[in-house]
Amino acid sequence: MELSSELAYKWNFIIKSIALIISCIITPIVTLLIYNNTSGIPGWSLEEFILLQGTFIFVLGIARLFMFDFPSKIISNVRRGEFDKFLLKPYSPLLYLTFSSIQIEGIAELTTGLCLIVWSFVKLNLDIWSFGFLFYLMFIALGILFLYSFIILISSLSFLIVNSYALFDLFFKLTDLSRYPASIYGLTVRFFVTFLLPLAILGYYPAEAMLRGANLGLILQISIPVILFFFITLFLWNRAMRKYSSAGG
Amino acid sequence: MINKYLASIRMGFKDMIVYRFHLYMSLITAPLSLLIYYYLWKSIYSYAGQAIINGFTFNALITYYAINTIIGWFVYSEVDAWFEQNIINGELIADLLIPVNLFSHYFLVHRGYSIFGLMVETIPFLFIAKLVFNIPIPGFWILMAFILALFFAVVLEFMISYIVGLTAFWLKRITGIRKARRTIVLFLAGGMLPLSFFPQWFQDISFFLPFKYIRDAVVNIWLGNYEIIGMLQIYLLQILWIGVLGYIIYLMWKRASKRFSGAGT
Amino acid sequence: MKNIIEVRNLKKTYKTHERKSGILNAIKSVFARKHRYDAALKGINFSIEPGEIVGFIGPNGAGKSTTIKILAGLLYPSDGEVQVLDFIPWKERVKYVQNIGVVFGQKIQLWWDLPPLDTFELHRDLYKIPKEKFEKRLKFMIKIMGVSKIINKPVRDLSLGERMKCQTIAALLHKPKLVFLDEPTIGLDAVAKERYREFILSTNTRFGTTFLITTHDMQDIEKLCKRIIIINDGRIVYDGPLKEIKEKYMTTKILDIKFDGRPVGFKHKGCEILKRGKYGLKVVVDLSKSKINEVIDYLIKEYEVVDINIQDTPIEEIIQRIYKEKK
Repeated sequence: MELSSELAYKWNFIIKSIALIISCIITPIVTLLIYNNTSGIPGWSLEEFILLQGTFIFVLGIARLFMFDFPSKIISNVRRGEFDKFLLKPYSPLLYLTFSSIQIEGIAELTTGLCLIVWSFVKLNLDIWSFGFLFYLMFIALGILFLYSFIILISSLSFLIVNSYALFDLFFKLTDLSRYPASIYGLTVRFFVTFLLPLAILGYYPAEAMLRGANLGLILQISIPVILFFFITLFLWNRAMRKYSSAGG
Repeated sequence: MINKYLASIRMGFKDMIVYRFHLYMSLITAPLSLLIYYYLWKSIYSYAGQAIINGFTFNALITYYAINTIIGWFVYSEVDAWFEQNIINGELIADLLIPVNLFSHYFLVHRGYSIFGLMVETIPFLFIAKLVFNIPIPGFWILMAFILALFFAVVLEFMISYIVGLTAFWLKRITGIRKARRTIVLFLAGGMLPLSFFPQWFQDISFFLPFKYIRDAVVNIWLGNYEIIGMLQIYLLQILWIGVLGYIIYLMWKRASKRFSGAGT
Repeated sequence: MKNIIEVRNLKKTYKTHERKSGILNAIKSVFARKHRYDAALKGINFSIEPGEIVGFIGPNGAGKSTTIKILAGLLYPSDGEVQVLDFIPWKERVKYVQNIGVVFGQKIQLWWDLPPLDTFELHRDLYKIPKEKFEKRLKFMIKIMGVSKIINKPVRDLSLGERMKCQTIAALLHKPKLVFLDEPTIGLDAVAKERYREFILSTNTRFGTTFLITTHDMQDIEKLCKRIIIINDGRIVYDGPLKEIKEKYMTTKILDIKFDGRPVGFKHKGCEILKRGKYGLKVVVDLSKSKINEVIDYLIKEYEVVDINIQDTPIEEIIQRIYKEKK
């Protein structure tokens, strides 16, 4: 249904996809220009940098495809007082909303990210039959979980704050922190993006694991904050749900 | 007579007050972006071991990004989105029924936005940037030269988005082109990286395109990188492009208004 | 007297794209689209004198809105001549709209996030209304429309009816000589409608303002217009006094009655039962044989009536009968 009505506006659909691809590849182009003019960032060659950014775009694409429509759906339903219809369904509103909202533009991002990943894999001669690759996939999965937690967080807050769209914008700005290797940041920021709001899981840590391997210590150190964050947001969501249904909408 | 124009500006100003929360947010996000650039370029500069890269000292480059942020607030235009919405739901008629030129009305409403943004975004941000990142503030004359160039830049970007908006008369939904315009203009104007980092052939072309005169050239005036002759050249090209884009708008509007059906879907 | 509106052989054809539903058709339409030409106006002629209130009626899609939009200078016609207040509406738009007022009931003409008062003040400056005159008129209009409580609330929080009232104020503040109202009473309740009509009438008598009104509400027409123009399928079917149409075609009314209990043995002169429900009746009353209040008196006397709804002959039926007569 949504797909066909999107397609009905032919130009819009085509150009929207092109626009998204362009905005995806602009960051790698900027990176390329930086590396052409300077010696780059210590410890990261151009190809390695592109691997990081490609991974980031890929994860973001998956999130856009399946989840980014989710908070706006909740916000608009809560505003119109129609959220109750989700509570009446025989399954968890969280799961229902996650799988019922798709933004097809996500495909453009996903594809661009994948192309960049493949390009850097070939250039760097990386082996996909390695533990590093296994950890790479695992960290990507953690990254998706992290974005999902964040979506849940914003959605939960939208029951409390009227202006939760602004939070979504803020979050997008925060993800800019994930576009560059966490090693460039000062200690405070690094601590922030690793433990408090594990944004580094969206690009830096998967790329690190792929390029330089990972050990148990690192894996624990990275996955615990992400998983903890997930459970905290889940807890908040349940609290918000209980509060909403007891208030009677 | 002047009241008529002030009225449109006043509406924009009041309209922005409603959305002030979003503007307050940018006082968190804008310094954050600057902080990211700060770390990125600090590591690049120290790794390169050079004090000057492509004519930029580290401090000048951070200033470049800071001033770019401010320019971004001033040139911000959502007139393309207005056209899209108003054509789809037919509400453009409301703006056609009031005795005012559509272009100037929309432009002035946006300037109402700018004035509000100047108060709640630009001035506080400049304070933060000066205190935290030690951004240099130029002397009076350079500042005046900058403001003049900034004004032309605002007109240029507005005209580009106006043209994108007018395409909605033919294409109806233009979300894609709107998004593309934003990123492409930002990139080509040097909003992500100074144009001196681009290949020479690209810089040569840029000289003849309008984009450079929206951001890169304007920031470089702030940085004091132009002599008087250079500034005059910038103004000249800005005015030239305003003329060209204005003519395109005139032609498009003539055809578009004949297509308008005023219906809503 | 010189006519305020003069329309000669006005035609308008729209070019539209055919769009079928379904993914497959949507993909097909990406590569090839079919155009279709729809004639909305097929050559209409009429003129209106200053000070008239003319009802412009017809079924949906008959061309009412298209005509109004052309007269208001929003649309270019495909053919024909139009002269309004010595202007050709679609030329010199900015100058022309200064002299007219337009209300579109289905559209929002106020600033969405701001209170109506802000839009009023915008109009004050755009139409160059002197401050004292503005205050005086606004006070008067606010009073007669009964909107003093809402003019400081954001428009998005107002009801459709409240918006309509404010929209009308905004359109009339500059005291235009000619006003177009397109479905102005939509969303108003019965009391508000009555007030609205009074407002129109008093503006008309006090300032000699000319009105052209489209509406689906026959009550609006009856209360406001002496003259009506009926349009159907892009052509004018009738142009003349309302009285004539009323006497000739609006000879019946439909009563929808709800009873407390089962209505048994309903019978009255000139009444014919259309539909019989368990606790309700739908009756056509022939007004030449029986007055409507006689029927209602009879009903109230004989039965326990819960609710009565009186409907006029639908416009579609009148048009059909006009066509029949012509043949």
